[in-house]
Amino acid sequence: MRFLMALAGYEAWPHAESRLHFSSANAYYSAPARAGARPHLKGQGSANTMLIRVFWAYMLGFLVLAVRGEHPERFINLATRRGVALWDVNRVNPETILVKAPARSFVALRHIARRTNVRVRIRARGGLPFILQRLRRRWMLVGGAITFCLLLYLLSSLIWTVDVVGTRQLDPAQVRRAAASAGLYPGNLRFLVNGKDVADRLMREMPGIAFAEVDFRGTQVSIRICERVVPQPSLGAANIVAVKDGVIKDMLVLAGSPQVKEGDVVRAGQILISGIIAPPPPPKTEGAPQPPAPKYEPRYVEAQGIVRARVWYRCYAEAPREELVEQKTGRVTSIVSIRLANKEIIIKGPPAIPYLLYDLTENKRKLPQWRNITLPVEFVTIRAEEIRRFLLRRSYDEALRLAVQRAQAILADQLPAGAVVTARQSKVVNADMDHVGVLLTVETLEEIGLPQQFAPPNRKSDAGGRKSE
Amino acid sequence: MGFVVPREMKSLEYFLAHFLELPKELVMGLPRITVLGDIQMIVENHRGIIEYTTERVRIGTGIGELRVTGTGLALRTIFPEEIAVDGKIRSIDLVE
Repeated sequence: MRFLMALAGYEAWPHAESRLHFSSANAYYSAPARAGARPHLKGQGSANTMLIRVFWAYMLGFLVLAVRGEHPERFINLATRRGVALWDVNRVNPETILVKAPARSFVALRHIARRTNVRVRIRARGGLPFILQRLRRRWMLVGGAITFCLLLYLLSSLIWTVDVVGTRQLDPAQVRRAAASAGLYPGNLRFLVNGKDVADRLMREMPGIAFAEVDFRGTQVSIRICERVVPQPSLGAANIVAVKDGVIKDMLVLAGSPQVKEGDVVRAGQILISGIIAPPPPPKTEGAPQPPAPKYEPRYVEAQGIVRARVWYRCYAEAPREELVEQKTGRVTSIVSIRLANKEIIIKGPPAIPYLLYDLTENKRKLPQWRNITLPVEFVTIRAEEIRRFLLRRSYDEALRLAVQRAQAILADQLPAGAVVTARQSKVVNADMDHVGVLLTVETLEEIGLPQQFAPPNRKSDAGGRKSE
Repeated sequence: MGFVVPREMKSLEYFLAHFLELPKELVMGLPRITVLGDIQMIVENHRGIIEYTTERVRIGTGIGELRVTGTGLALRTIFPEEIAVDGKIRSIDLVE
């Protein structure tokens, strides 16, 4: 009831006067009647509406007013009654109170102040409208901020680097060139490039690529590639020959005709699987006369197969019984100095190295050269590690073990990658007071076949001759 | 604006407010005072400020004058329907 009356009162009262004095404030005065539509004026004490009120005060702008007079309470009451919402009222001294009020209500408040005999002065302005006003004067600042944001966005949407990952046979530069022709190159805008299209095009255009993927990671792009395994080009007619001497352990013939069998001793260069397939023997005639057998010719193929053989390696190595050995004692001295033309100034460390024997590492650093001017100044760091030298005496067993180790190390370099060591035998061949010499024999099981091309003869009479070779 | 309920109407209004479940502070012109500990007081349905200093705030209501004493008192909000007083509150008196 009171509420309705209040509404009526607010509506009637200010309208009459607003027409007389301040038409610009008219909208503000009628505000309480539409409290629902103007949340910043709604008088609900909850935190939520408080937040909305603060938000609207900020959006519409507010003033901090210093009200001086005998009865500032009257000013507050009259303002409230006319629908001007005030907040953060603080008394700073007996005759002054600070009040925050909406910026738009200032004309009305001045009028109220005149009526209630107080002086109103603006202490501060706040809120978005005033900030905008200030910024309008400093448009270069605003422009700079906008330019900065645009530039940041532009530079971060550029492609800076393109990496190619996963190439083995292919040249990464070639892949990069192909990608560039599809639009993926450093300097292009990121959103102009469709990674899937580029990957598709790479797969289509480069036959060596089985799969390609384009991965965008910020300004860095990596092209991941999986290469196609291309089968080795056919050699044409070829034999498989032995690379090493050995005894055949097992054979698997895939193409061609075997020339040796398991257990055979072969020499290096011997044909193991021949690429010449001889014609089958003519069929036996059984009584009735047969039509003449078709004339077969030997076929020439690329021989294929696996031939594994036992191969022996032999190696001699020796180890001394007495040896002069150097060993680091663990004591280290470092000297830091500046070397001028021919003077040396020691910054840190002793003036001389205090060891009899030492291992020296010197690290020199010069000042960066600038335009052909080199300053004759060097920073030198010397690191000296003390060394102890002594005569090491080995027992017979120790020397033997070392000799075997050495022999094995030598052999390890000779054995091919796929070789399996099946037996190892060492024999002392040379032993005296000073040395122990060892002959190491190692038996391995390894593949010894190697394809070797040959020219198939045009005339068939040649074929037989070659074959028997 | 002032709306004093006549004595003979009071029982009827009270009955109506009860019966129709209307908010009593609106129907009967009573202030609704919400106190949060000793740091805040919110008065709805007030009739304006009579006095304001940092030690004392007097607020007019339909049933008399509300006196708040304390230290560092400030009026957080003043709206036609609501006044919020912040600060260290020591006493709240209702003076008819």
